[in-house]
Amino acid sequence: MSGGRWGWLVAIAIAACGDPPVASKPAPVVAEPEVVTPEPVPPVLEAAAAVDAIALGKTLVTRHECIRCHAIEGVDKPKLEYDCVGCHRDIEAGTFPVPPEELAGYQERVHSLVDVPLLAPGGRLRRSWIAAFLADAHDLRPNLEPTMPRFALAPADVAAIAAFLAPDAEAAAPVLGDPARGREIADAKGCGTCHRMAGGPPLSAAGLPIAIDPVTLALGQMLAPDLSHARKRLRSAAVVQWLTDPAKVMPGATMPKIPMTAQEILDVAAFVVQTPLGIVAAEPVHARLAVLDREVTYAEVDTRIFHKTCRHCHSDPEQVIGDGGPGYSGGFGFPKRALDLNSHEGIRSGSLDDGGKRHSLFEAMQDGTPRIVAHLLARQSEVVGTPIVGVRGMPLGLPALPPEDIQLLETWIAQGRKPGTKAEP
Amino acid sequence: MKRLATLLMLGLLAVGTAAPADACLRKMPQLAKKQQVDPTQRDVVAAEKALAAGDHAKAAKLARRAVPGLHELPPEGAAPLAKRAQRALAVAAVRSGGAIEVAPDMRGVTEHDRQLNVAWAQLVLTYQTALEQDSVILEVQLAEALALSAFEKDRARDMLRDLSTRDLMPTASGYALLAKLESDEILRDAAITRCKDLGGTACQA
Repeated sequence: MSGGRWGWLVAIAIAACGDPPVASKPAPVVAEPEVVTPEPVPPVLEAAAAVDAIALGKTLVTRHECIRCHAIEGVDKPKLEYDCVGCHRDIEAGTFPVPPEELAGYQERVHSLVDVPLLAPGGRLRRSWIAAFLADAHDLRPNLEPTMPRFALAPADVAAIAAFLAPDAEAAAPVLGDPARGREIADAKGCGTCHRMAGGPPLSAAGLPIAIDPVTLALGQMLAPDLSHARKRLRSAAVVQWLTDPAKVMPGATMPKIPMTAQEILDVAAFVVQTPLGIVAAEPVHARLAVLDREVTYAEVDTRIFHKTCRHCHSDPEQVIGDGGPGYSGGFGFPKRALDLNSHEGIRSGSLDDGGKRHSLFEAMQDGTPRIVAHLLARQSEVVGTPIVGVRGMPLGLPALPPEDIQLLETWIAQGRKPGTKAEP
Repeated sequence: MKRLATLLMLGLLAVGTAAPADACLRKMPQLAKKQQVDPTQRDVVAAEKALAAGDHAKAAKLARRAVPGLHELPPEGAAPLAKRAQRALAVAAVRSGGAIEVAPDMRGVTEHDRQLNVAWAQLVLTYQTALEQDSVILEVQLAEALALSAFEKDRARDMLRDLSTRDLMPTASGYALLAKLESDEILRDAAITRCKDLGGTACQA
């Protein structure tokens, strides 16, 4: 099939889906679909994880602050000041106990990190995939704006966390069914209402066989993973169990139980894990914009960038009278950076490197780009699947800043990083 | 002295009950309820603002009111607000040449009093810098304090020169002080330029 026809099919399928309520990322472009990836079925079943590794992993999910975002079965919730998602949910629900006008302000600004996948240690995910994902996180859920942050975890810690989250031995999978028949069933059951399969055939969004209330449906569409990852991510037996009854595998699962016969489930499972995938072309990174001719003040940059996004993880704890965030005090495997993006003085004070030496945020990288800008540009590359080695994209795990915001920052830097119109004594 | 100790204890208790905020600067419920009336936080913030505005006496008064007994407070283990208050008081003492009231018996009236206040401020800022070696802002404030002593001026200049060279100077006032201390004409002119770029109002050497 020619690339042009594939493109049309993808376009038609996307058009058929209508506007997903939270779709914020462009659909991946399928290129050269005739090139087929090797079948990635692991040759052996995973054994049960070592008990000490599981115990270590359980402590590490707290130490590395995974619980800032994820509720993890069997792990205590963090204190409220560390519970990013808990606070955001309270704000969204209107139960955050602050005066109404303050709450309205928060509700206007807080949109990210409200709905985050649950984590339930068990036998669903492949331990090998968890480890690979933690070591090199990538976008898994096309309609969810935040992605798993790209951590700086030691390999031993990654292995332990993976052991904790996938402690069980892998059960042998039943013989799967017919992938071609599975595709027909997937289309008939409307799997494409929520899911897509990058590099695979477009999925139909028509014919969902059950009634789902709009709120639950919107949540499902937002959290639905790209099915192209399932073959590496899920154990084959778990795919069958999941399709049979998701809530039985993970209480609270967003995926509804879709009525299917046992044979239909085996067919759909075969379709999910065996369909040949084409290579997905990387999306282009946004073009970098030239600096502006007009004057840009610190106040403007602060409002659009530092205050809006950065300070939530990068604040001097003494000034905020509490937790300065992982980007100041350390967390997610990162050492203390002592980076305060909450004030002009803090921004000018730079940050600590891995060895504890302080560097300016404005020092030039090899290509002359100021360091702080390089991190923002790196995030743009990360979100299209082409991370830059050695430069961690920021904001960590959140959508990249739009080119216009980066342009604003670059202009402010080029103009001498002035504090604003208000003179400093 | 017993009275002083009682005051100190009361001050620490007052600070100790301040509710924490969180990483996102979303105020915690307790803090949100208390913030409008929390006199400690209100006074510390007001002291810092007065300091930035050059009103050293007012800054000192507010800092002392926020946390009584500041002049005897060991920074190690002190609550963040108490450390901020103590720092504001110390910097006010430095910038006024010691001519503020640090404590009832440290009124900064006589020359001896003023020297005593400056020495106290140098001690506090040295102590706080040692405890928080990551703070560039504190380092500049310490340099400002050290520059008041003839035998520490070179050290103060070297600290500021290092920050300037590494593009880590956080404030215009840091460049202004460097310009005053700098013996190298080119570096002095560069410091004056950077001070002016940052909107400093007292950038002359």
